[in-house]
Amino acid sequence: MNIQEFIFKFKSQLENDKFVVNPETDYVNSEFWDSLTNMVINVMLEDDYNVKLTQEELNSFSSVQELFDFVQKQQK
Amino acid sequence: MKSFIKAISTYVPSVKITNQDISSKFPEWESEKIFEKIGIKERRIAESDEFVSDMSVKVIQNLITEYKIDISSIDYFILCTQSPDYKLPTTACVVQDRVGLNKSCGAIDINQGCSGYIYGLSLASSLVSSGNFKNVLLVTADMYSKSIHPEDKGNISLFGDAATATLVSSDGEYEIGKFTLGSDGKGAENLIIKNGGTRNQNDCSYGNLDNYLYMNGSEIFDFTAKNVPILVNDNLEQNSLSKENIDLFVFHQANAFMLNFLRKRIGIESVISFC
Repeated sequence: MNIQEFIFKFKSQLENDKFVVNPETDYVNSEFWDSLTNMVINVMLEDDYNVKLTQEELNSFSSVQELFDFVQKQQK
Repeated sequence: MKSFIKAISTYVPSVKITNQDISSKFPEWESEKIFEKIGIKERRIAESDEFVSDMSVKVIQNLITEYKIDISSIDYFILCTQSPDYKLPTTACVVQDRVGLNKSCGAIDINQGCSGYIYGLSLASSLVSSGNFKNVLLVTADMYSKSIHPEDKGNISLFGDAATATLVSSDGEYEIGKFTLGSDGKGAENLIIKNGGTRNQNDCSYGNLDNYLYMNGSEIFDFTAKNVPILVNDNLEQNSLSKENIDLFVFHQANAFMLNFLRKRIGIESVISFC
């Protein structure tokens, strides 16, 4: 897995494609982030990466990169 | 024996709750944001002195008037509701008398929520298919507004009150196909009104949230995300259809965001929601 592919999947879960997402994005404090978005990202993580997080855990990362690193670690 | 949908009518109460109303009461929620998320501008709720029997009578009268149906031809009446007028008698029997259904007409209540229309239709269809009954009237009527806490902005935004009436007959234009149903009681605590049954009394206290509707949104979302796509595919297979054969998918879901999520997940073009 690479971060571009991860960001592509992450972005495809958002309501529209006007949002800019990159590795540094602090998604939890972004305009697009709320409890519904949290849920769809969680389903994506479970479906595509077999990673199951709670809402609180998903809200605890400070950037997309940090979330990606965590998910990557779970793959090993 | 085949069964058909012959007529459908609806009834919505007159009290309107707009996104602006919600936003005025809960300033932390902007009305535009509510619309953006759930795709609904207003929801209707019942008057304080209006109950499920009243909505049922009105929707049946609408059906009879709109389709010029002879009420004496109805030989079975199913009322699907989770907010019956009384614990007993059966609200369907109260409605039978008030609307003028024959005394020889069967009348029962069934208790289902979101899945109520499909469950009711599966029963109505099976009663007609059995050959025992010719014209089955299915009414779905609910008013969760009477069970939602006045400060519960999430459920106030998502739930409205309404009723539908469907006539299922042994003849007609729209044949009913095969059903795919399911149940999972493990999730009982995720959508519940704890008090008011025999297990727990409703103490009428405003501060006791167990007297009111509780929904664990993320658990319901998780269940839906995992189960609905499988259900859709199973049902298509059971009816020997593929997605390409379907002009329109209709989901019971009061949330545009969720519908869009499901649409992408199932791999279909467009959806319409009725809630």
